[in-house]
Amino acid sequence: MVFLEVIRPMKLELKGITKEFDQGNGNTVVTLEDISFEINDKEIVGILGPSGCGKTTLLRIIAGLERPTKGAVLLDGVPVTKPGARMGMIFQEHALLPWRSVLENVSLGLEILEIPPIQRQEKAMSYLDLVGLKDSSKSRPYELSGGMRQRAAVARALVLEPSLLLMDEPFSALDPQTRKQIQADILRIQEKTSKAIVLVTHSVEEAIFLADKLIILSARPGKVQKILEVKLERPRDRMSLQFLEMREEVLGYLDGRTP
Amino acid sequence: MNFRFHKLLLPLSLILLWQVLALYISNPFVLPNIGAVLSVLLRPTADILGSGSLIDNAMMSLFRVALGFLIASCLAVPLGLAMGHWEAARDVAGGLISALRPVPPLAWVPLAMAWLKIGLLSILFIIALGAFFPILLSTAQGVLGVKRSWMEAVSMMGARESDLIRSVILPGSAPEIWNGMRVGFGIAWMCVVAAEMLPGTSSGLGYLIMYAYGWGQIQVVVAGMVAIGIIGILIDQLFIAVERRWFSWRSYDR
Repeated sequence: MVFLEVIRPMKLELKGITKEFDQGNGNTVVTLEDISFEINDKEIVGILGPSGCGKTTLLRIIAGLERPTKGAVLLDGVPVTKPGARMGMIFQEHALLPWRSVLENVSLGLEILEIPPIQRQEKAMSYLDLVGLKDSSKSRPYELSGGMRQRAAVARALVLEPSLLLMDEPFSALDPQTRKQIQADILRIQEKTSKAIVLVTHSVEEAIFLADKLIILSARPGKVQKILEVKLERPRDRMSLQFLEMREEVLGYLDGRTP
Repeated sequence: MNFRFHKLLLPLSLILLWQVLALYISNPFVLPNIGAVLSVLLRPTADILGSGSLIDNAMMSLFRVALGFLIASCLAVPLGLAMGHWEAARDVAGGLISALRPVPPLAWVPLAMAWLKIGLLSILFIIALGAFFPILLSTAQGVLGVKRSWMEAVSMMGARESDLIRSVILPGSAPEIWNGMRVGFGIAWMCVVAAEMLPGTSSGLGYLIMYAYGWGQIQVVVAGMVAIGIIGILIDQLFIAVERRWFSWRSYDR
C-alpha cells in the first residue's frame, strides 16, 4: 500500500473585511474598513495600530469569534464562519479554566476529540514540556505566575496542532524580563512546530522582534495603512542599528509623521 | 488550638439568663429549666409520650427534607441552566418567577392540601417549593457569571454546544449552584418543620413539638427546637466543607 500524504501549505486570506457596529441610536460606527492581506504558511505576522483601531476585533474575526459586516476570511480557500480547532488562540488574559489543573486545561481539546485518556495525557505532557511547564502540570492556573499562565495557554493552543496561532496582546500584562523570555520561547516553539502566527500587539519592538511581516492599521476606521516586510537577520538584536531604524520607520506610520 | 472564647460568650450568657429566669418563674409550662431540656436531649432514643424518640422523629424530618430537596434540585438546576444560557428562557420564565417567588411556601398549604391531600405529598410540595427558588436563581446567576473568555477559549477547540455545557458552563457555575443548594436546603429545613405542624401529620420534629405542646411538655418543645437548630448547623457545615474542597478556585478567579 502506498501512502500519499499531501501536505498542503496553509494559506489565510482576508478579503475586504469591514466591520460596522450598531451604536443603538441608529448610527453605525465603522471600526474596520476594507482590510485585505494574506498570511502564508509558517509566517509570523504582527498587526500594529493605534489603540482603538480594531486590532483585536480583526483578530477575533479571523478566529471566527465575530462575523465581519462585509468581506470574508478564507482558510485554505474555505470561509471561516465559526471558531474551530484549525486555529489556536491565545487570549490577552490567559482564559484558562480555574477548576482544572494545568494538564487538564491543556488536554481539554483532546478530551473534546474523544482521544483516550492515556494518549491525551501523553500528548498534553509533551506540549507542557515544550513550553517548560512539565513540573507544574498538576498546579491550578491561579497558582502560577502570569508568564507561566501564558505558557500554559500556548501549550493549550498547540495541543490540537492548528495550522495557525492567533495571539491577542498575549504578553502585555507581563513584566519586561518575563516578556523577553517568552518572546524568545515563542520563536523557538515556532521553529519547532512551524506554525504561522498572527500577533496583535501595541509594542512596536515586540512586533519587529518576532514578525516576518507587519500590518500597520490606521486609526478609526482601521484600514491597512502599510504592510512592511521585516528582513532583519535572526536572532534579532533589539539594540542593532537596523532594528532601531525599522522601529523609527514603524513609529513614523503609527504617529502619523509618515502618511 | 485556635479556640475563641468570645464567640461562645453570648450563647453562654443566654443560657445562663434562661436558667436564672426559669428558676425565677418556676413554671415549667412557661419556661422549663435547662436540666429538663437536657434530660430529653441526652436520651435521644427514648420514646416520648408514645410518639417515637427524638432520633426517630428527626430521621423522619430528614428523610422528608432530603426527598423534597432532591425534587427541587432536579427541577431548579436544569431550569436555572436554561435561564442563564438562553435569553429567551429568561424572558419567558422571568416574569412568572419574580411574581411567585415572594409568596411564602407556607401560603401554599391550603392549595397543597386540596391538590395532594394531607400527607407526604403535600409536605414534599411545600419543602420543594421552599428550596426551588434559591437554587433556580443561583444557578441562573452562576451561568451568567461564566466568563466569555472561557467559552471562547473552549469553542476555539472546536467544541460543540454540548461540550461547552459539559466542560465550561456546568463546572463554571457549580460554585453558585452549590451555594443556591445550601441556601435552599436551609429554607427547606424550616419548611419541613412548619409543614409537620399541620394537621394530619403523625411524625417528624415539627409534629413532636406540637404534640408535646398539647401535653404541656414544654421541655420537649425546647429540646425539639434545639435538635432542629443542631441538625441545621451540621448540614450547613457539610455544605461548606464540600464548597471548600471542590470550589476553592472560585475565590481566586472571577
